Amino acid sequence: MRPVALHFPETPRVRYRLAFPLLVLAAAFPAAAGDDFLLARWKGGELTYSRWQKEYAGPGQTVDPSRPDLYGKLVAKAVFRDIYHRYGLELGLDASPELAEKLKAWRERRLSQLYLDRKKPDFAAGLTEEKLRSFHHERSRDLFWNDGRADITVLFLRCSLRPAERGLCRERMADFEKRLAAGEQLAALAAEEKPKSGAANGEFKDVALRDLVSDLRAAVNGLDEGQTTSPAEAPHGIFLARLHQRRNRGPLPFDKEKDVIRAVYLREMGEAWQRAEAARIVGGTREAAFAAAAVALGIDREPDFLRQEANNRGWAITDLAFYRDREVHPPDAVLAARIATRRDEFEQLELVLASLPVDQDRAAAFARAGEFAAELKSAGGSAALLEKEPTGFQIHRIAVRRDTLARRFPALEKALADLPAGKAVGPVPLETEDFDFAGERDLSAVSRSSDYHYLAFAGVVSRKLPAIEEVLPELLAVEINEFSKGPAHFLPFFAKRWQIELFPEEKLGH
Amino acid sequence: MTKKILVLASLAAIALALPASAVVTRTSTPATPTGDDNCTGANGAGGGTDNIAFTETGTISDANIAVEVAHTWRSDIQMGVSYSVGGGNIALIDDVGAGNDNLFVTFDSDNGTTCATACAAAAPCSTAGNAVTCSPSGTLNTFDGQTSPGTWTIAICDDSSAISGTLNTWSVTLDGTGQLPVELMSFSIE
Repeated sequence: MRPVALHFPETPRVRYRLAFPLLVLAAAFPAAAGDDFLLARWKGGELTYSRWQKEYAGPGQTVDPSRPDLYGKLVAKAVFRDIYHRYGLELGLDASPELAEKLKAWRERRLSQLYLDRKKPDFAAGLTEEKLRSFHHERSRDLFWNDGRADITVLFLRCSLRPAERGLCRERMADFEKRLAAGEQLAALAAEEKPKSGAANGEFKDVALRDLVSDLRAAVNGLDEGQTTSPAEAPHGIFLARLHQRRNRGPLPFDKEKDVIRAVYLREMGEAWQRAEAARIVGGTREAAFAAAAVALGIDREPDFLRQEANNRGWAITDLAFYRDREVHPPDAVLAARIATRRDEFEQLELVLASLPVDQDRAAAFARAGEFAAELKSAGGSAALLEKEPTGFQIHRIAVRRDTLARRFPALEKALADLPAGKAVGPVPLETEDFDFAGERDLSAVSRSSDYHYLAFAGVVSRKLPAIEEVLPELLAVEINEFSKGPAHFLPFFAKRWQIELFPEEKLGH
Repeated sequence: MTKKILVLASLAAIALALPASAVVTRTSTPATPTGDDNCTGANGAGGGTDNIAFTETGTISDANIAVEVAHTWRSDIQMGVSYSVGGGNIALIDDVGAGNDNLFVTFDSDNGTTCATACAAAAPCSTAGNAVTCSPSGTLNTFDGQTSPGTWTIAICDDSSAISGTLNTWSVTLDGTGQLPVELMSFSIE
């Protein structure tokens, strides 16, 4: 990477001319005014050394003639800021709602952080081991608990939720129960059933309970050693499980987990303090409440905060002005092509989403999802079916970008990727992208499925690509990041509009 | 049980109902100098490093890295992260943001916006008040499925001359939903 700078260690003016003949043709050499020097000039403005020192030099910064690389960076940065800050002021951006919104968000966030930094008590001070042990004891069941490992046998009869099939399944399970009561072994019955649950005839040896799918885990957790569950209904079948032996179940040992317990304690104390403080202050959001409290403390009038705010304001105006300067941007056709090639990020979807909670009665939820899937299929996948707000579903209407949807609900985004407007898909698990259907279906161990809470059907109401203006900052990131590679990128980008000349550093002091 | 909600550009109404996750964060404030023009390869090699150790046992399902770097030429910053257990040496950022100030970022590979986009302009990522969450140049998802305990190492260097900076603070946040035996339930749903 090369800096945004003119850097010509040996024959600077020759290289300059070769690289940027247009600029050199326009350039007379810098005129000195007393001891001052021109660092840069452009169409409509210039930057002298004295003004750079006054307005842009950071603490201890100087454009050192013996450091041409430093010279180039500092001057280039100041020129960009100078041009676009002034341009922004000319456009009236300092009074624009857009700027006000940006600054308000920054100010609230910064003040809130400063308030928390200063007022949050040091909960670590005076924290004794006795207090930690007490915390560990009180919270062991919900925070510091290990379900342990177990040897279990599972007899699993796979069947769908369709009433007829489920009824036959129940009858078959009743037969198995009778045979068990007559003295047959559960493992032998499990081996008889195909497909089998788990990898070895329903035998799960030394399995971590946290790795079991949720129905099975819940059933086994309620057993003592030697006990067998009653027939348990799961979305993909009915099962019986017997717990042979359990190991390592209980609270996590204090001494081994002391560091973690301490971290949890401190975080809980901090969060509780923040909640109480926010409630005490009374405001809109918690951030707004803390920002207001910071104002009450006068933090917003402190020199350091005011300096940060002014600097942020200046750069925010500079950013806005740069994005308004369409003359320097690539042609619209180029930008439109970028949008088209990044459809999976930019595309805006208007959706109707029907979600079905499955955390209360999983079997019933799967049954309802199955019914609706059949209705949807017979309706040709029409999204209009969702608009009728089918019974049992929560209906949400959402306008969202594809990349946002992919971030939150990747499985849903994938299902909707190429679905035309007016069509619907489902069911899709909302919770996790690596939901393991096969593991659920087979009641398998180490399925890595987390408990998901919703199944969804989604219909596309409309889908469209945004206008250039709506995503301009994202489109221009390509160019901005290229500026840092040197004058070959920086100066030509602005050549037509601003005709920037950065004067070679060796003239400093001449 | 019908419920109609109009949500524009937000999935908050749905997200509210999602389950809690197990989250652990560790922070270090090393004040590690970036050095100047000292990168010897990719991913921060040649500059300074700092470590964060996790003692929890379990399996990682998501890893995010937050950094606060003071620098007056953002695109000089090159950073990478590695984990002692595995997952490789992952690039976090390189050549992003031209001559802008500082880098306040949370690297999250599940975020749809790249840091190259989010931190290109001057104001975003420049202060704690403008900190941004975005996806790094490499993917942190290579650490998903790795086990804990282990030690995370961040490497930072400066890939051009003249201006240097400092890695003031960084943190690693691990999510081990349903996997970490120490269930540090945050109950903070976002």
